Amino acid sequence: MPDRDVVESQEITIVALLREGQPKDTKVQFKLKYGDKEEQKEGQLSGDPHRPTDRAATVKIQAPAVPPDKETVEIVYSVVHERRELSMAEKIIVWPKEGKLTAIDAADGKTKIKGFAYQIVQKQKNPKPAALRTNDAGEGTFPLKAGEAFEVEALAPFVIKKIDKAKPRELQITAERRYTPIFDAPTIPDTRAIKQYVNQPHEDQGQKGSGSRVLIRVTAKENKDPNNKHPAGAGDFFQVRVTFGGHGGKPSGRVESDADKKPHLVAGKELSDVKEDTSDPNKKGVYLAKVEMKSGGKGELEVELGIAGGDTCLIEIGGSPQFNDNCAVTFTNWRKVFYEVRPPDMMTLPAKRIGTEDHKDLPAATIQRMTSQSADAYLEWVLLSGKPFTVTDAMKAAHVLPGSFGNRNEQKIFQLSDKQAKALLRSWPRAGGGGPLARFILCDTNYYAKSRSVPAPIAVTGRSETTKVRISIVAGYWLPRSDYDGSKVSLKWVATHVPAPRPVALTFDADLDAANGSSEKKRILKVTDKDGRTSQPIEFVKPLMGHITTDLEASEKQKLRSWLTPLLTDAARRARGDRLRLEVAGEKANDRQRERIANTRSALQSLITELAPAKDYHPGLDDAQNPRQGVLDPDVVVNMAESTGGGRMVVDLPNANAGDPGRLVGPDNATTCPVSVTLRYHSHGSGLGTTYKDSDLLGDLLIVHTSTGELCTADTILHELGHLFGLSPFDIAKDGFAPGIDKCKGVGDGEVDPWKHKGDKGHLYKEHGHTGSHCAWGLDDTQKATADYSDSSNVPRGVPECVMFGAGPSEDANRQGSVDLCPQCHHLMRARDYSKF
Amino acid sequence: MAQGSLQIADEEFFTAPFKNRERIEDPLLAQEKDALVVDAPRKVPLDLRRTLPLAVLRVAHFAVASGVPLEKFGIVVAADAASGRVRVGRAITPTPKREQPEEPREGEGMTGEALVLDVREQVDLPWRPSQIQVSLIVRELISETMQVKLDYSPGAYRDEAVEAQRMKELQEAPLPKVYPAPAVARPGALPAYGRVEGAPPVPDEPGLFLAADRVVKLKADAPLAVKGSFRVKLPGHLFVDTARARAVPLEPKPKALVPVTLVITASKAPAPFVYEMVVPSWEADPKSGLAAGSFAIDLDKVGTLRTVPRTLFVYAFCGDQRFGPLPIGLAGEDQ
Repeated sequence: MPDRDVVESQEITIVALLREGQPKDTKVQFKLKYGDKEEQKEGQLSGDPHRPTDRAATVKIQAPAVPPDKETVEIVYSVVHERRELSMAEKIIVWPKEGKLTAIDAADGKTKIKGFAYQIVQKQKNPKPAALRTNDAGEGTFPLKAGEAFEVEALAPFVIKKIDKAKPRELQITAERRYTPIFDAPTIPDTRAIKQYVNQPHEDQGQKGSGSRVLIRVTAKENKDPNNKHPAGAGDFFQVRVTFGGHGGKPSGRVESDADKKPHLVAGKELSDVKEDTSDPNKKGVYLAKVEMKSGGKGELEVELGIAGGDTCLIEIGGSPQFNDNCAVTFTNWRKVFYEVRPPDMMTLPAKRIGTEDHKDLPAATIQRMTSQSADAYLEWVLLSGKPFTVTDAMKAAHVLPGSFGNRNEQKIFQLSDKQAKALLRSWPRAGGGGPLARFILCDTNYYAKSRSVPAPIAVTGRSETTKVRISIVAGYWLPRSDYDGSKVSLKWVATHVPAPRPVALTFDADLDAANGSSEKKRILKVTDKDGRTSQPIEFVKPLMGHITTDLEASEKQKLRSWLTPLLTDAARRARGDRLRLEVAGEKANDRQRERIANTRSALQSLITELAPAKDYHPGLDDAQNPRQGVLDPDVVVNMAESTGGGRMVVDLPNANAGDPGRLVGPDNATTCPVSVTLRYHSHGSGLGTTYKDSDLLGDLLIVHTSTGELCTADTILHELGHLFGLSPFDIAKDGFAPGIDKCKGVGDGEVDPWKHKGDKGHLYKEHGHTGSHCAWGLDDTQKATADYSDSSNVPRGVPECVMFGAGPSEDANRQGSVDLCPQCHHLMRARDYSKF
Repeated sequence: MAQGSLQIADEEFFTAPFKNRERIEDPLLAQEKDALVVDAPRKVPLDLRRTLPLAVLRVAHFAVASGVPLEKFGIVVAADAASGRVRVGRAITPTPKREQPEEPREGEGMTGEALVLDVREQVDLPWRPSQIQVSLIVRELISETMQVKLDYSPGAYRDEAVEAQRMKELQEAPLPKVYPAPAVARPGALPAYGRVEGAPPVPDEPGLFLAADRVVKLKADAPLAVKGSFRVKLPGHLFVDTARARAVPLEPKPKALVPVTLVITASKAPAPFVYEMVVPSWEADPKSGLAAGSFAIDLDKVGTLRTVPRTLFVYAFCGDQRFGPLPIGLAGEDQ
């Protein structure tokens, strides 16, 4: 028997077809019963009254009300016709036509909820139920469809906590508002992870990744529905759970003395009830709070992330304390360091387009190395500008050297000292657009003055028998112009011939028999310089008594002296080859005449001995018998193409003019001798890079860059900036470790977990052959106990494993072992403030 | 060479220390003679000067200068006999910059280096009236002792009370602890103090002596023993008086505590190890100011010395006495 479902008050038509009997004037009675009530009604006949059958009796009734305590009312009836009582052909079920509910706020169990949103679910009969709301009294009525039981479902933001069905259609619903939280700002990516550059200025309320403080704005998903007449608002709260963590699950350990700068949930805005969640003793740094949708259906809260890299902040917003609304975001602290590259225009570097301008950047391998090494420190490098500077003609003299001078393959290299770089950096405006800004001025070699004061130059000698003199550089590096005081190197040559003094080579030609005008009272002899063709007569005079004398009078000796003196000057001796050939002419017929000749010769010999001491007239000696020497102009004589900064200087001795050492140099013989050249030079260091401590240059680096040292360039940058950021601080007392971070154990101290590596000793060291503090990660305890780490007999190459070790190569081919920023240095980097240099 | 070799006046150490350089250096270069000339002012006025210059002129064959660079091997020692303190530092502070290691240099010829180092900075010398004895060590060479008096200029105000107070505090300061601490008494245990068997004889006149095996194995279980004896003049505060004797945990109580500083350099990896010992003396007389005794220590306790085959050069300083070098060859297995 089929059912007919009707609702209260609905007019019900019951029809009985009469198939037999006397229809002409027959009567039909309907006996109706619903509930306890019974009634009879006469049916209205219809059809052709002349036909005995096929007439119909119809009765119309109004469906009765369903009692409040009943779900439905069933109408049963029978049809009485001419003594027959026929049973009903169907079952009529009366359903309530409407229901009623009262909504009560679960918060206090008594306040009526105005506008409680709900719908009546009758899946079969009313698949698209309308959204309904309670009135101002918190009451609502709702129509029902016949034929199916109903259920009340709360619509957002309401959630039914309890339904009191004291009466089936008069419900008392206890409900609460529960909105679905969503982030209104910042925009949360699908990954639900945000890199927050905490060292950057606080901009856009931290909502675009810049700044350590972020304003979080949350709202209810329901508020996005324009038809929602009851958006979340004042009095509506979301649960907040914030978990502070960090790299490897632990915060950095940095401790701020200023509570405002510590990672924390910032009190204020729409945040309330902040408390630490201590429910799980194994979890630290978890805080609970509530945020109210007070500001136009939105609630704001602020979180301070701190400045330590790698620290994390998980923010969960929940409609309930279970936080199962999938509304969460994790901020991870990163730091951005901008850099500006200033290469000389003669250096080849990759091009990079920034905006509408062409720039130069570090090689990809260098950047990759910097990036990978900085990743665990949560540090990113961003090129801000890369403008080459012009090497002007004026600069070339001071900066451009042959490539061979620096042992490079390039034809020319750009040399830059610390002081020169400083002057250049100071002359350039800094690129704008971001900070902190590190400026890298690049060069091929960095020969530099090692100390502030001007040291005494080093003297080195080179000796040669040819015009090319090679002088070995014993220590450091030389520059044509000293970086100390701008002075040239000095070059002094000296002949090395050792004097072998000899007297004048005096020879007498055979005596001539000649009277020379002699008379009875005097005899005249004539002494002739055979090469100079001058003569000097000597007279022997007859005394008052006796023969003409055979001895030379003093006056005659004086004549000889006067005559000989110009012949025996150094110049005359040099001109003559220190030889003197004389001839004595006079009568020589008898012994007395011959004696006069002999005495004259003897007098000449004595005078020559007296007037011309033994000397060596070697061209390498001066007249005083000192080695000849002189100074050379290095700009003229230094062969730069064959010289190297740290190996040798090659000097081409000049030989254009008489007296030039190039004419003298040769094997030691009568006319030549080896020449020794003394070079005095200031010993320069050869650096890989420089960090400036001047307050206006903090973050500026001079970097040696070669195409064969791209990884080393990265290491130098990381190393030098590492000092600034306290990995191995310049000054531990002043620029030490980040607040809250334990000072690293020194190499003489026992290390603690988790930093033990290759032994039990710490890694921080000062001095030990280097200057300042550095990191000895990789050395074993025995090596750490040595005094000088710069000596490979103590610390073999390849042993140090940290970029912050005190020395490193400049050529990638010379890299040995695995050298990276060590875990401890990364730990220190993470904790450092990178907001400024 | 003796103090005064540079033939300059005291004030010229601050203005033109090498005004005579070429006059001294050139003949040595020409004659190819090695020389180490060290000089210092005899007096430095504390109120007028801020540095204690030590001028060094070194002429050497290329191989020597290259193989034994002053930058690496130079060690400056400043001893203050009045306080008993010996301060040691490198003659040249390494550059703070990260540098590419220099390749070994080869060459010929002669070299001349001149430098003025500031003893005050290199050894962190207190700037107060004192008589300082300065020495320069270059591997197995040690210069003549330079005597430098630090004092105020004649016109400067001298607060005698401050000096007296300092001396009083020095006299009343706790005695230094014996270092290295004495070993358990058993034959051959190190360190040992008193009359130590095998130590050089205690000199009758003031002096300081060391002895050790000339060559030892690089890898050996036996300690690297160095023995020494001394008779030195001590400042009064280092004598053990009754009032402070209780603090000395030795029996019988020593009569004096003698600071002996060892400076150890080497033919390779020469950066100095400095070992500041405090040696007890049972032969001391406060009246004469002399203390004598001997000691034996294990150099292996100083640091990692046995790294590679090399020769150690041990110098000792105590009061106005010094000794060295004491060479100790560390022989490898194949030697």
